[in-house]
Amino acid sequence: MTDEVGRVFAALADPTRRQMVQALLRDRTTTVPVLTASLPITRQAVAKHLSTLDSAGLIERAPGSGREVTYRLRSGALGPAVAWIRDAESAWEERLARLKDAVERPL
Amino acid sequence: MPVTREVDVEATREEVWEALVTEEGRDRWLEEPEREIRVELVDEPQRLVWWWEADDQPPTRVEFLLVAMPRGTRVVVTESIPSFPIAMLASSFARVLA
Repeated sequence: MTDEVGRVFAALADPTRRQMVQALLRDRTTTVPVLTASLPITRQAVAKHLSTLDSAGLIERAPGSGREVTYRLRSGALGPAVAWIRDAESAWEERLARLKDAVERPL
Repeated sequence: MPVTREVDVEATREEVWEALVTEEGRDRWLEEPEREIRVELVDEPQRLVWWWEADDQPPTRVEFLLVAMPRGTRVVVTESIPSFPIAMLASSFARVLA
């Protein structure tokens, strides 16, 4: 697993951040005040979670934001996670082939 | 999203089981000594669950099912990252980006 995938998984391991992503999936964009109003956490906590999602490459600032910064999901953000799945599938194919060999041809 | 793969082995479940639960057996096929295995469930000789841990990575859960077949054993392995409901998010992203 690469660092990039690790960051995506770590960012989404937190239930509050998953709620934020869910809100973005539903509403397409969001702001700190909107999230603060809908979640039982402080404005500072909202900003910190958004910063974590941003660092993981999951969200970005929408262009043309007014005074209040607007966030949206970043296109292709789940690419690394999808790549992990592909890697895990091919890794297990190889491992199971070796397991079969080892068991069918004992030392 | 769990990843599932399977293979049919011409051997008894007990023979396959030995290759999964003993370090000596695993050394012959796993080839990943850097990942620490923490066993969660042992139901000999049909079901084994372990957690895989490595530095800076979320733990993954690996489940083996050994199914007796007419000519051997079917090994079904499923690896997942329980902290990350990827299927839900991936399908949602696909919808958003469509």
